[in-house]
Amino acid sequence: MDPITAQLLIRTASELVMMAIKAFRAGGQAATAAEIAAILARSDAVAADIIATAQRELDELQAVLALEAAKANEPTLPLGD
Amino acid sequence: MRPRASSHVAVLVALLVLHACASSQALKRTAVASEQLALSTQRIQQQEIQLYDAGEVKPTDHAKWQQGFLATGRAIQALNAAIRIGNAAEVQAKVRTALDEVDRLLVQTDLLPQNARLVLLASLEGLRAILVSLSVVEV
Repeated sequence: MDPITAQLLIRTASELVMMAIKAFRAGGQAATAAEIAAILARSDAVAADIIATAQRELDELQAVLALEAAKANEPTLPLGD
Repeated sequence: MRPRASSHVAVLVALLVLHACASSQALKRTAVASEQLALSTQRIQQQEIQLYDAGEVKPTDHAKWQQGFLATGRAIQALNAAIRIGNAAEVQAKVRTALDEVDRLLVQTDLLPQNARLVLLASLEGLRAILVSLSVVEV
């Protein structure tokens, strides 16, 4: 495994541990409705960002694939003398 | 109010408060997990885009990944809507839907070269663990 992949894996693992700790600690505390609403609003905002990014990537990809298809269908110019 | 009746009322109120606290704790845990799920999904999406930009993911596979992220983002929003309503059965159903989407993404890691596969696989397994833990939380 190359060093960059190993570094990414270690970072991913440590982030996941932090996430688990955060979720565990949150479970031990009573919450107000406003607090829960604020967390859900943040989650919704990130989810909306994921959807927008995915849509943008798909639109760009469609344009690239259409361009490639058009190029493939282009009649080849006869070679001049 | 007779002493016995008042003690019954006190027990009843205590039970209701305890139940409300437990519910609010479970709801908060689910909401926090949903936020972590969204952040984690976003990070995996960014990793996949970087891999695509680096030429490690084919355009057609990139489209499959982004369709998967699109579905996962929608599943997270649906989960949040269910948490807001506070209906346990609905929350569990939405958790299962999100879990299905993550499982689909996991299957797709086979399309990646080894190094890229390892990174996304670790992230997705973590995401799956969050969802599995959520599926056993009572709301």
